[in-house]
Amino acid sequence: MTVELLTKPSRVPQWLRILWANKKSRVGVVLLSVFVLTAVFAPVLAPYDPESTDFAAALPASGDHWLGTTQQGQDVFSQLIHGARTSLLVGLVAGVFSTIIALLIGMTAGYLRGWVDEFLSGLTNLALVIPVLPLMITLAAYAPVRGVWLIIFVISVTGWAYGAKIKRAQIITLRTRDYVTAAKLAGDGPMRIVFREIMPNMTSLVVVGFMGAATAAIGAEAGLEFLGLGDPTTISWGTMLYWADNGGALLTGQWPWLIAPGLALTMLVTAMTLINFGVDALSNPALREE
Amino acid sequence: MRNRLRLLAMLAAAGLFAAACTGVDGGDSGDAPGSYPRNQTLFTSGTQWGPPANWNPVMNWAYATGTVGYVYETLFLYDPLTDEFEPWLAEQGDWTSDTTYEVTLRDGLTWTDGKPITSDDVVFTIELGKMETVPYHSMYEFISSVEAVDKRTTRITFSEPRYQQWANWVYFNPIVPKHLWSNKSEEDVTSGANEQPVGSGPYLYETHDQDRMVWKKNDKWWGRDKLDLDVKPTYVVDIVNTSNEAALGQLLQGDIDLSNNFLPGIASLVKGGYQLQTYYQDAPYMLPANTTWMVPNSTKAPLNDAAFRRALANAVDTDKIVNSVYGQIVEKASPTGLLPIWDKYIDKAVVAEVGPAFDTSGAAEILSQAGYRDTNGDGLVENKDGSPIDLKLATPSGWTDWNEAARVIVDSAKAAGIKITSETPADTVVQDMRESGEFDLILDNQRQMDNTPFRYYEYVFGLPILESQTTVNYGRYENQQAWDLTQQLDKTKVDDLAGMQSVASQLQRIQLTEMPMIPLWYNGLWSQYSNSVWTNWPSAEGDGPRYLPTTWRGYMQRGAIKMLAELKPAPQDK
Amino acid sequence: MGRYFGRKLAIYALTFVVAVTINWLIPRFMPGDPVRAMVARAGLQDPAGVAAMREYYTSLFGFDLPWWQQYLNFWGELLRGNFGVSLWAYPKSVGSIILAAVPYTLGLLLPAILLSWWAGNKFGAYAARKKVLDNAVLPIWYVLTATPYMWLAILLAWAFGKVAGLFPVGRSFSASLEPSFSWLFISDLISHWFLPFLSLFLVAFGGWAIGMRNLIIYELEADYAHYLGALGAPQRLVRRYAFRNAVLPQVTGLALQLGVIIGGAVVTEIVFDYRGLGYLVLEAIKTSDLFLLQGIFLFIVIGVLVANFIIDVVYVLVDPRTRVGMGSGS
Repeated sequence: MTVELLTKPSRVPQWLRILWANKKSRVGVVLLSVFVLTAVFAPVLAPYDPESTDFAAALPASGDHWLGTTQQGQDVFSQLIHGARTSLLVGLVAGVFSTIIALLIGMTAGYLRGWVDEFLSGLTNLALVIPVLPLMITLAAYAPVRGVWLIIFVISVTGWAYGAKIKRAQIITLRTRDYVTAAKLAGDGPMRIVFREIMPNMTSLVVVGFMGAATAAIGAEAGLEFLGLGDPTTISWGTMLYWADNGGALLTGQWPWLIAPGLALTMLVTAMTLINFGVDALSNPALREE
Repeated sequence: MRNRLRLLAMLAAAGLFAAACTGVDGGDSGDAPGSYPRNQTLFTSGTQWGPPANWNPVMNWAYATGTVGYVYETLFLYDPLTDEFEPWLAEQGDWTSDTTYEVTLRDGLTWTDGKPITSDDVVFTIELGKMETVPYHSMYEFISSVEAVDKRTTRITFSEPRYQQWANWVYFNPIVPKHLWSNKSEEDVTSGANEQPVGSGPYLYETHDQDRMVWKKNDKWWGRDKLDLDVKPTYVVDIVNTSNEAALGQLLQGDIDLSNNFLPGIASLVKGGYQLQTYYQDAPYMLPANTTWMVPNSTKAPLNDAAFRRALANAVDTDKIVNSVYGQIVEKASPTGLLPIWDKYIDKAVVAEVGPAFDTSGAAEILSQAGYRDTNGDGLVENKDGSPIDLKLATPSGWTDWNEAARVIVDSAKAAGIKITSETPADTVVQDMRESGEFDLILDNQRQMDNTPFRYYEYVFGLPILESQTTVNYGRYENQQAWDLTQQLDKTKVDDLAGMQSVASQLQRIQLTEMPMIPLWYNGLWSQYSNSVWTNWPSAEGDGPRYLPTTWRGYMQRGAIKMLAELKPAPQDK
Repeated sequence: MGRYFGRKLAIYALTFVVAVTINWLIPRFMPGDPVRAMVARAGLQDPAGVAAMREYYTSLFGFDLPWWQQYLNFWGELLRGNFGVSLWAYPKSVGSIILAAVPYTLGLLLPAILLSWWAGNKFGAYAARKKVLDNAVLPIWYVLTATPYMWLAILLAWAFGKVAGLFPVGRSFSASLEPSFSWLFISDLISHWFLPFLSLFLVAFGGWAIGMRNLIIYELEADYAHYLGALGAPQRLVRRYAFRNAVLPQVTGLALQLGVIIGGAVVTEIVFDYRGLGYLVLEAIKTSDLFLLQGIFLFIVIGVLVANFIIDVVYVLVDPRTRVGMGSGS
């Protein structure tokens, strides 16, 4: 998929416009904004302190507690709102880190070629084949202190391979373009060429890569926390599911507690997938919808 | 496209059909071949957390549920509820002098392979203690000789009589058949799987799978005529636990009869008409099984200061833990940490005089008197040298009730001016910290209800301190006087109540002023049972059977085995 | 042809070596002493006993050797199929525990992967050319594929297990049954299998359907499709070509998705208390049975490598270009 549309950085407004014009990504952008706003204003929006255990345990949904309370007497709705912070934080940070790793490895391999490429591509292929979740579980299980940052670290070091492969492929097609050759002849160094000439043409790819990595990170974080490999005292959707499942919410019929965090996760991931398809549509006009 | 739908429909239909055929709980399948008849089978859970993998009674922390109790039996039973020993394999056992003990087996006992049980087996079992890796090796150090006097009588001569420990030995450790065990290597004795166990008890090994252990009734069990006891279930199926919640689900569906899982929500379910029952009808619902202690590391400042430990003991709001974390299924512990069954050993005068009680301002008062001041005005006291205090309280991650309790402790200590931070490392890490002494504060509850408070004082004061503390005195508290008293208690005869009380009172004074460990609450003997298939479960109400309702390891010989003889089939309502 | 597979096999072999090495490295760089954990559980009080037991377990697990020898021994044991001894089910071997659980996981994964792939592709391709249908089902697919595996599992367990009471939730077969070749047992097995299967199937299905739909639209816009159309080829033929081309990336996608679906199976099994590898993973985490955890990790790596190789072979079979290319290459 080439990116002829975006040969110059000055076209970024159009980038946004297309994203907005696409029905799907528009829905995604709106949804994501809601989540971001929720996360930012969580302390204002949440009716109670999410960690406070002052309420009666296992209350059903009511006017005071929209989604009831947990087995420990915490307000589920407040936890849900604060949980958005953790998910977005993990998505953002782990997404950025794994995108950076993917960019560095993919671009170095693709631009330098030769034995460096052989080595890095080999590494990428290797990392692609090793099943990530079991590796994550093993790493997290051995770690002495568990928490969000450990999960971010684990996700970052295990989740870059796919992005690196795609970026390498892209740079290989770009590096033979005329303007790159021209820059080379003008005596520009490889760093300058990669960052000034080639990078701008990969914006959509990087955005897609970032969104994909962030989405995967959010899912992985929830999964690891559900397994009890996070810090169960942090407030996040993953730990909420962990506690709900462990607190027997299914049996005691506290379905709002069980359903809310998973629904929030699903909506967030859906939002990001929708945006991703919108970005994809930028480079593939056939996918655009009017 | 159409194929796809058809296939999906077929799959769904197959699933539904299968579900319809078996019935959701699978329990309706009755007496069909290949299934255990529901009304003759007892389903239990709550003991086995991994697949049954060994039937070795020596590995008393890991054997398949029931190995001791159903198959291997002890000389005596000890019932903590009545504080009485009951002869089991033994007919009687007495101290014939200050240093010799003689035990006589019942007449005509046989192993389930038909060989007679003789005093040779008893001698052999005690002498296994010569092996360093057998758990009761330390007991053997006080024994000078063991001899078979005749076919049924064994005489044990002590170099130094440890009456309390020995009383513990005779009911806790099962006798193993010499003719099958004598050629085992030490490795085999202490960590062999011992498949196809041969013992003497009321059940025989039937089969096992990754997720269950099945025992079948031994129709020739000696107890039927010698004790006039008959265990009622023909089969006992012990289910391997995955989680407490899964056990709760199966209990509610009537797929499990007895669950010894920790189910925090049980209080509301017992009253909810699910045919569930617990030992007590109301709070605390459960019998207390052991004490949960907060262990301060006495080698680190400021926890090496008894005044600071006392302040901490006064600062913890245990009632809040009992009410909000446990929903009242546990009870607050006595300041001495002794279980209610040991009430007669508690010197109430001493407790009233020096015992701690939850009192935030009192705790702050003790701190300031001892010289701990808030020098930087953050509301939290600093060390005497002005450096900030930040104690780490470690509870294993996933131990959710303890994690929550830690949170309450952190909050209430903060109110008194002590900064504690809760940490939840993996449980192996906590174990490491506990043994190596690299911690500030941990929780622990390993000592169970027992025949003697010596077991608790040994746990609190045990010396010497080793590089690695594996079972006692994790806080590394050194007090020779207290340890001497503890050993004196061990050497007190079990029928000398006044002697025991006097030593215990001295120990309590030291304990309550020094606070080497801080008792918090009594952990329950988690147990809930369904009346849908079996009834007449242990109960404190009316004339219900007063036995410990559990299959936990080490509890069969505490009388729990007799629960199986009391069960009655539930009236058929169909 | 030989060179192509040779190269692939070399990559897989290298991956395996790296995975084994990582596996060997992790526990040696992390705190927590499994031997100490073992000894602690024995509850020995006597110092001599503790020392003796520690020595015994240390030599049993080989921690007392120089590191290179530990590494070589690790390989030696591995090649003999010995994954070590489980702490969770001591003294059982990790290999025997895993082998007993594998049929359950494969029984879930294979049908879920194959059926969801096949049905997702068919349905996605079908929807791509029916505008109305496409608009109706597309949102459902998006949501399905975004659903966390464990959450869908919880929902299904709640709706079909608890509320409707149609299916049992928990374990692989009823505790009151002995495994046998009877209708009773097999139907019981299927009814326990269905919900975990369904939840894996549904999530994966959404992903394949979206992928296929987009690929088909892309292919139909490609030059050859327009060209064929201009030549007057029937729509059906054009679509068939488009489908054939679009299937190829989906085959590659299958290889990439394997890890994700296995991860999904792990959490799904946990929700349903289904006694496969996922259940073992959880138990190993809970009891810190690191040998078991590592054994499972290696086992999954081997499984994924084998599956990747099979997919490579399939790819060659369905893609005429690689066939021709390799023919001339060798």
